Amino acid sequence: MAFVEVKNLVKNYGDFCAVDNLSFEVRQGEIFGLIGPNGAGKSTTMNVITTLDDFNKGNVTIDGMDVVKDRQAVRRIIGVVPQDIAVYPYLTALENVEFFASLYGLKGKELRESAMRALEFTGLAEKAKMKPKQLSGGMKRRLNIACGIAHHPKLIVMDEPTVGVDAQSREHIMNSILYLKSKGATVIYTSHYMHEVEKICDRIAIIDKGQMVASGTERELVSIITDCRTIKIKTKFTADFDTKQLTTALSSLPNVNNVLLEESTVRIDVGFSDNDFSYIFDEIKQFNLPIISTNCETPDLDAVFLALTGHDIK
Amino acid sequence: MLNIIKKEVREYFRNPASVFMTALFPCLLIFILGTMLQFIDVADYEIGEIKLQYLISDSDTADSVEFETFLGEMSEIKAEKAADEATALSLTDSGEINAYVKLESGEIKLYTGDNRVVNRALGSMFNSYIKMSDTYKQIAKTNPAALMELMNEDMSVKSFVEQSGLGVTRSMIDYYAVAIIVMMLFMSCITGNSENFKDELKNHTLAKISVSSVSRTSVFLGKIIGTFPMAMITVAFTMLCSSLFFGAHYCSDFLGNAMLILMLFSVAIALNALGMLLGVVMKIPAASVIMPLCWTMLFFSGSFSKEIFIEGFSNKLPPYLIQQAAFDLTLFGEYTQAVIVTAISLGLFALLTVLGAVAFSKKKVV
Repeated sequence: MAFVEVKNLVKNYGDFCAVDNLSFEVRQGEIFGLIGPNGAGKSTTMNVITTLDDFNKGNVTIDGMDVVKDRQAVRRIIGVVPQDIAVYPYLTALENVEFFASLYGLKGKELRESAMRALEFTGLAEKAKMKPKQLSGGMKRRLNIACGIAHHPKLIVMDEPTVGVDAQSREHIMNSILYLKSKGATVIYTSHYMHEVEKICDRIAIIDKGQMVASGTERELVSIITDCRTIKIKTKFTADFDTKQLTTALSSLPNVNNVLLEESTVRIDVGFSDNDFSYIFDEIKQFNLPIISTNCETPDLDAVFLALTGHDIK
Repeated sequence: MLNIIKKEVREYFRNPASVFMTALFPCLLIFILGTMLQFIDVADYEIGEIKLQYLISDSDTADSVEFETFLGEMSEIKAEKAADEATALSLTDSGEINAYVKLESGEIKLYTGDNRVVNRALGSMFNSYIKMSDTYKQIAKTNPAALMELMNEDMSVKSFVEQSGLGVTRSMIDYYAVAIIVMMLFMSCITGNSENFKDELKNHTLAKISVSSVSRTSVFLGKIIGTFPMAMITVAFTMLCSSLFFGAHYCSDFLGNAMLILMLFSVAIALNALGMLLGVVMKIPAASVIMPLCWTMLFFSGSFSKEIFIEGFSNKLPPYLIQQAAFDLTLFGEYTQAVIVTAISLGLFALLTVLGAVAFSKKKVV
């Protein structure tokens, strides 16, 4: 059973349709990525899921509870990490985390321990007594995450939590999200950064202009636009080398879709079903050709997005 | 809700701007206006001639002669013998005379009209007369020679009133102390709290609070109650500092000061609730509308100068009514207006809190 179920969601702002008949499911314990350009309807969808905003049509349930009818119950099991850093400037890091966790009923020793654990988890334990203005941009982002997870929510909704952070903090945040998943949390994650989504998300939904373009695992999404990846092998042909014979030999190999020779490079399109390409290299060696370098090109989500929507995600 | 209150209090005490505006700035204003401007602006209420009728039940006694001599010597008092008590009381009630005084078996009974300044002056004069008279009698019994020396000293009416009559020498700082507190309540409580929710929106924390399991009503109530320390500090700290450091006088007794603090605190929390409500319902920055309104209201309420007063308008403005109630309490020990202002303020606080909570529960935070 899906942990989060969005069915035929429609959200209008006057005449403008921000979300148009959107449907998807998030399974328990998975990291679900929601990608799309600005104005695609990601934040509106997030606001509906987190009970912040109402909607015109459709049905949204979390852990079997309706976000409209069981609003308070839904709120108790979700944690929100908003895109903007939402902390109080005059409270210390620990006080900020404690305050937000206390809004979910935690108190006393449990509250203090949960807040400290959240700070340790985000690498901010040593900065517990510092105020947000004393923290770097990346640390503030991590504090933002700590504030959203200290109360041990079942569902964590993260709206672009890595915007404008340094590589070190980004890495820390990525690892933190994977750790949350390992502890059983379900995560909905939006980002502009495709490589982040590729790295941590189990399944991904691409939305554009309020509509679902495609959804699935990264492999499934890539397979929508192509059924193969390209292996480039750099070699050195002698003047009397029979390129036609090589092309025929390589083309006859299993799982090879297409072969193209360009000066000193052999381009081979290989289907996704196979990850072992050693038989290709063996075949080339039989022609006494040196293998100078190899490169495997797989279409990424950027390419998928471009192919499916006709425009770049940025 | 307790956690929201704690958070609000922490934020207040850690924000230098809010502490300055609510605690230090009022003291600074009182010092500047009260100390520096007292030389160019003076409290010059003209009492004028006091019309008084009197009756003495035991004439030709030493007390009665002394009493009639006292009345005759007071230049401000035009004293006439009353035809009878009923007529004198009736004239006092109708305002044709200011007071009726009766000397009976060595006791002075004073019946006053509705002019509080005149009443205060008369009360002071007769209290002083009684004390002086008792002192003279005591000294006459124990040390007649000392009495003769005392009789030769110059006792002007001015020093008489200043030392014993009004209890303290009042100055402009006493006026500004009350006026500035009222002014600051209007300025800081309404504008400060109208920005409270805007700050939460600016910090993006309002949405985060709104998706928590705490109800919107609890959030609003927590924020309102969290402003109580600010209100109390604005009132009590300003009163304390202006008294200790700048010599401002409020009420002469503890009960009066307690009532004054309660009244001003009630006004403060009602204004806090108004500020919060406006902050929730207004889409434009509330301060841009509230500030000019407040300044205009305070300007015509005599907060800055007694010369700006429009009869029938100024005396109906809330700051004027609150200031008058405070002056009634501090100068004349009159509680009635203060109790009315307190009751209305608490009622308004309750009403505005309910309206604010309803408005906040329906407000979109994204």
